[in-house]
Amino acid sequence: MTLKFNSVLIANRGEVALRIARACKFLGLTSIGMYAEGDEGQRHLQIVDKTICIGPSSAARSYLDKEKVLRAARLTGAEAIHPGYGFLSENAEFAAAVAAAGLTLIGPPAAIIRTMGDKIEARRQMMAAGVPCLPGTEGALPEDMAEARALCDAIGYPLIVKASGGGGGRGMRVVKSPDDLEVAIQTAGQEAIRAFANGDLYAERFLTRPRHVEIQVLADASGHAVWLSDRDCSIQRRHQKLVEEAPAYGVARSAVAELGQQCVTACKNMGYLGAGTFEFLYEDGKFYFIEMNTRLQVEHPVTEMVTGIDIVAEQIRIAGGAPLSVQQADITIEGHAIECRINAEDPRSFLPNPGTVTRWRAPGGPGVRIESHLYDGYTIPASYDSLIAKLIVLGATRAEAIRRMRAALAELEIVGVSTTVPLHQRLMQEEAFERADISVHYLEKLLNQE
Amino acid sequence: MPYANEDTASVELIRNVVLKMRRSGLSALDYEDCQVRLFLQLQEDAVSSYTNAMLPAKPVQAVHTPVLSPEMGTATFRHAPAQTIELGVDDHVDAEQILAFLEVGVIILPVVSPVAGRIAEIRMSEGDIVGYHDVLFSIRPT
Repeated sequence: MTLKFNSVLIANRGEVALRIARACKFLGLTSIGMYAEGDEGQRHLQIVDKTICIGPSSAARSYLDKEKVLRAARLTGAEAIHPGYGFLSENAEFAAAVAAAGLTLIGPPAAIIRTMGDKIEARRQMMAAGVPCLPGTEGALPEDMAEARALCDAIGYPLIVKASGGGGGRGMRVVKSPDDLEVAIQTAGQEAIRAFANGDLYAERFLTRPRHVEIQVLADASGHAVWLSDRDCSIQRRHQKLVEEAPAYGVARSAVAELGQQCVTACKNMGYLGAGTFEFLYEDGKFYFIEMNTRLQVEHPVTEMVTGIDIVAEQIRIAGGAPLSVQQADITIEGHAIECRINAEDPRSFLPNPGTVTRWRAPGGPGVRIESHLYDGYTIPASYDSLIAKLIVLGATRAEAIRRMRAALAELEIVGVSTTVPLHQRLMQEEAFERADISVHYLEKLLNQE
Repeated sequence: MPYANEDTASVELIRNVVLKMRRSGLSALDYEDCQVRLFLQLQEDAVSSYTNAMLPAKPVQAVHTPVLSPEMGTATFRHAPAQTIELGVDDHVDAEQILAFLEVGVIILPVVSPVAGRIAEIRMSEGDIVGYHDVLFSIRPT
């Protein structure tokens, strides 16, 4: 099917820009690379059909400048814009401006980006579609203790009482049992009044050891939607994911399939378009919706590895008006994939470590994939994200994938900058990780043991 | 007094750079990285007298000064309704002379020569789409 555009402006840099450029080549589309001053050496600029420098190195005056990105599209004759992830990828104003300029955004419409960016509205839509959400009070807890207790009992324990107007841990109490509720509400309320001059509190279920499990979806303009796979992204530090896997090990397949269908329903209800991810916390066999990401995710390759579906190509085709090339019944998950995010960071302090990569040797062999814009002599600027490579492996089982990742990490050579490779090597040897005995707190606890 | 130390160090660094420029016969230097832009232009007689004194036998290669596009846009020699700039290689230009224009939507920006000299190269053509800081001309010092 002919797409409604022939040319795509890649409004990003780094590995994702290269990924998008490759997908454009695969689809036979003209690709245009835009870059900030200092980014002339970006690898994707070597394979695109046209390039243009849009501004100085500061992201605010280049990759994040909506007017400049639109101007670059107009000047270069681009008919569509792929925002990648980060930068303008979840900016509803930008999506609206792209549509107003008569161009196609490779992503959902502005209204959906806006709705999913509003936590309360997103939660309302998810509940309407039957997607499980974290139980909690919709508004402030009533002052009458008996009424408050009835609401909290319905939520279940442990729960957390939080100040509506607060943050930073003040006006917040974890309540382990109904006996502790009254004291917790009183002390949190007093603290909230002192700290925020607002004693309103709300309560929600408190998860002590949740895993991060997410569902990848694709939806086309004809109202068809599919879910591709689940992913476990529990290995994270300060909400920054470091290792991702597909599928989520040890989670009942029937429960994942049910959740996937609920996400598909939500997509159809809201008229979702393109690739998206529903993020959940998972504990004791139950899922709780956190948020929806209305864009391509960094970790999309693990889903590609286990399903064989090219998510970026599908995303571009869908934006071009083509129907989904896969039906739900055709989608199967084969094997287990793991991705390690290689960041130019000190593996202990996690401080960015920009500099020049003097030697880069990527690993290879069966089931090993690298997504990276690095080359010998590449200088990592300090101004942007520290992600420099994604190492992805596929194994028949999770144990095989871990063995393959160990071998690939040992083969990988990055000289000149500190990276997170030593941390990944350590993780792949950890017994608890091997058993998938992990939660979103696992990595920080491991690091704190030192 | 960390700032005083830094300032002293910066002045010393610039002195060294100027010395090296004089020894090499460089008349101008334009360096920019993420945070800093350094633009040095030596007085013509200072360059010539110094280089003549220090390097009498060695021919001095003139350093061309690039003229950069101030923005991303469409380069043109025309400024409506009637003005058209006609320039050729070897033409003399003054510092601050307008060499071309850049259309950025409805805004027209001048492309100005930062130095006096002769045009060594014209890299733009009428209607070219140019990026931010693309080199549009180079100027040879006279």
